Amino acid sequence: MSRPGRFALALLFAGGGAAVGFLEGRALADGRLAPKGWFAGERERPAKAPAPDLAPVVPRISASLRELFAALAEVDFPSAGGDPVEWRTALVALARLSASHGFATDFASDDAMLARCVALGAPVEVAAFLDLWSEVAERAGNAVVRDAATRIAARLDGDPVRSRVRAALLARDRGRVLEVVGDVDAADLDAATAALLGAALLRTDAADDALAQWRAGALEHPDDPVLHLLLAWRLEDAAEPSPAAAEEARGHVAAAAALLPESEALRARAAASNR
Amino acid sequence: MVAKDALEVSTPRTGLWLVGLVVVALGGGFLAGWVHRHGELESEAAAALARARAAADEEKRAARVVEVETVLARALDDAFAWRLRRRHDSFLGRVLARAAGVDDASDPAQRGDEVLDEAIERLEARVAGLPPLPALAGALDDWIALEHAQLHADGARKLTALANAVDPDPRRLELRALLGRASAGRLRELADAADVRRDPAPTLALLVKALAAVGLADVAVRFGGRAAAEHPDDYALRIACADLLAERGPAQRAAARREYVAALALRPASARAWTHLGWLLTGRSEDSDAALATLEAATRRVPFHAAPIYVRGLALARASHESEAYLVLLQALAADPRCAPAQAALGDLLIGRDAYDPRPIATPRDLPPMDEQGWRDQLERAKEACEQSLRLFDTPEGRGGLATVLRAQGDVAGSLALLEEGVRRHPADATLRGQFAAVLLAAGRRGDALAQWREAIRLDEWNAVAADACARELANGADPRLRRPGQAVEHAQRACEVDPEDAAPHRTLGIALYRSGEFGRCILELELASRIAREGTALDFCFLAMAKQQLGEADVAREYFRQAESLGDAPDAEFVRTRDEAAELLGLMRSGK
Repeated sequence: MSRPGRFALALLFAGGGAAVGFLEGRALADGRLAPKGWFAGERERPAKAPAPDLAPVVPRISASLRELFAALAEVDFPSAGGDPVEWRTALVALARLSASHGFATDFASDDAMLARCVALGAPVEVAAFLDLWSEVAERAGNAVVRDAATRIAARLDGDPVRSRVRAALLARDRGRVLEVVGDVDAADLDAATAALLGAALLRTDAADDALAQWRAGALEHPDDPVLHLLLAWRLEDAAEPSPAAAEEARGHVAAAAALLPESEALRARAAASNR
Repeated sequence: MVAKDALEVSTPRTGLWLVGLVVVALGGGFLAGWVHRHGELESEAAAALARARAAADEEKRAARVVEVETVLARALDDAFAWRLRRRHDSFLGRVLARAAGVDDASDPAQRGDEVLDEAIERLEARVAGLPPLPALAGALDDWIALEHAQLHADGARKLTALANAVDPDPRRLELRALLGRASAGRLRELADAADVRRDPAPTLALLVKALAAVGLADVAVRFGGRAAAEHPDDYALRIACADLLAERGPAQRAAARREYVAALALRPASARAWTHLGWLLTGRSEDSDAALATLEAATRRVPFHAAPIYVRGLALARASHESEAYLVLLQALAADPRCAPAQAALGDLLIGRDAYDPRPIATPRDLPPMDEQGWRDQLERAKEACEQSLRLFDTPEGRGGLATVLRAQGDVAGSLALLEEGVRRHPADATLRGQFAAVLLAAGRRGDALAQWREAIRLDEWNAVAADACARELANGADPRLRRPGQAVEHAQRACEVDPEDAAPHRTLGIALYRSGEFGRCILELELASRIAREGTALDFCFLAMAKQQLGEADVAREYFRQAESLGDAPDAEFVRTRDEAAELLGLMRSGK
């Protein structure tokens, strides 16, 4: 081999060596040449998660459940002392509404229904919705649904005061409802309890006390749409509500519309009352 | 082949040389690769560090934005809770400054404009380098409108500059500019052109405020109603509409209440919504229970804000729960030791003056010596409380309270001087002007008194006390040349509208109607006043007697006159004057005349 040939060969070897060395150096610096499988029982380090963005606000209740609450305002509930036939219509409307929002109601089996309710999350809100079912069923004369809804609500929501109220409702014991009312301070109750206690009072024919309970609840929890809707319904309930009651009802409709802006029916009611 | 040739031609030394070359090349390459990669890693690390720093800065900025948009903007909104009376300005500037973080803002030694400047500096420092802050700008817009209303052009300009800096939305920039120029025509055009469905709520809220500020309140009410219907969940819009409606008098009271309830639903911890709703309800006797219940809930919801506690104290005093009112006002002072209005209200409470709706107090007559001494002591205690209030801060409430005490102590000149100075310092306070007018009248300066009442009514068309007092003087003043029965009827009707359950304005309206020659309506109003008060006064019976006489029912007139005389044991000048007039009309000779 000629001298230039040898020189070229040497350069080739040197270049190849340098390239291989360069790549190995990079690989070592990257940690890709780190020994793997040499150490028995070595734990894999989890991949580093990217830094999260600002913690998103998790809604307390799911969107579909919230839509369901907003849609409740669209059900035309009859007056408290209305004909059971009208209430049966309302019960059917409630069932349709629930089903259309992914909350299929079948009170044949408590356990199955309870499992579905648990799967929805937000047990307090779902229990409150079941309490509404119970109220509508009571007025529609459907004792099976009435008691089943209350039983499931009681199993779903372990709040001690609400449990007492539901137990009293299941026992149909007016005295026990009044006992609960006497034991608690309306100002200390949360919104769900105030709503339930008022409904229980209404069921025991203490309409004025129910109204007072809901009023106190709405004052303490002005951001609770259920209390505003209950008050609006009750205040508008009379055949000829007094101007003051009608005006108060309009205020509660306005508040409910503010809290549930997605409800077109509430918006329309609020707009009508402003005219 | 090449390798074979190489081996053939190479000697052992050459081969060694080649191997050495390859080893050196490998080593050198390895080293170069290692160093190169480390260089890259270092630059990557530096870039990552820079990214992390930028992310941390961004996070801090985001936290600052949240803090400003929630904490600071809400603090400014809550401070607006003190805007209770129309044009109640002097205390408000200090409240704004304290919300902005100026700790010594309540120091009376500091000038108002200096305090505002310091507040704006603090606010500027807190918002420097932040992205647009529409919620803060919305809160500032209320204060800008207030500064314009008080003709504080400099303060308004500085606040506008700050609001524009934190919220550079072009339409809102134009609206803020129009607010300063009071361009009603352009604002009306903008209202007509606005699309309430698509326009953002902050723009609509500012348009409502601007329309109201330039005197287009009716347009603002209508526009606000449409905007709220499309954006029912916007607190700023609802509270702006509520405040606007609350200032539109009794006809809009129900609508205002509705809007406050909606605003509270959206922001249950809003001191402003609670306080203003409580204030609204306190204004009417029949809403007294609702006012108390609302304000109790308010003090539970916002226990550390003095404004709702103060209004609760006033509501309790109005409902004659004086002991509880006293304790609640002390609570307001505990929540804010520099709360001058609460301190003044304590003084008012001691002498039975209605701090919500201050009228001249009646000095008890013919008290036994023990009780008289007690009354004098009470006046001294009230004087002390009002003086303490003025030491905290010079408010119309403190001045009004102290002037009332001085007048009750017989120091009319001192009272007059105090009120004169008060009106000079708080020229836009209608309540203080009304009180000044009453003292002027007591000092015999009838023309000046009427001028002050007229100014008070101009400042606050729904000031029932001023309207009633002005109407009474125009209808039954001692100087017949100054009587204007037509104007008196107008003012008295306005006062009746404010609180239909209050007997006094109905009585005044009855008197004004008599002077206008409407005897039938006069009788109806005086009878209504007697029914509301559950008994007629001597003055009522005098005018009933004269009205009946005018209608030709002389016997009934004489019976009313007899009743008036039987009630007039402690006659005041107005009664004596009217009784003599009635006696003359009825053709009766007064004994001793």
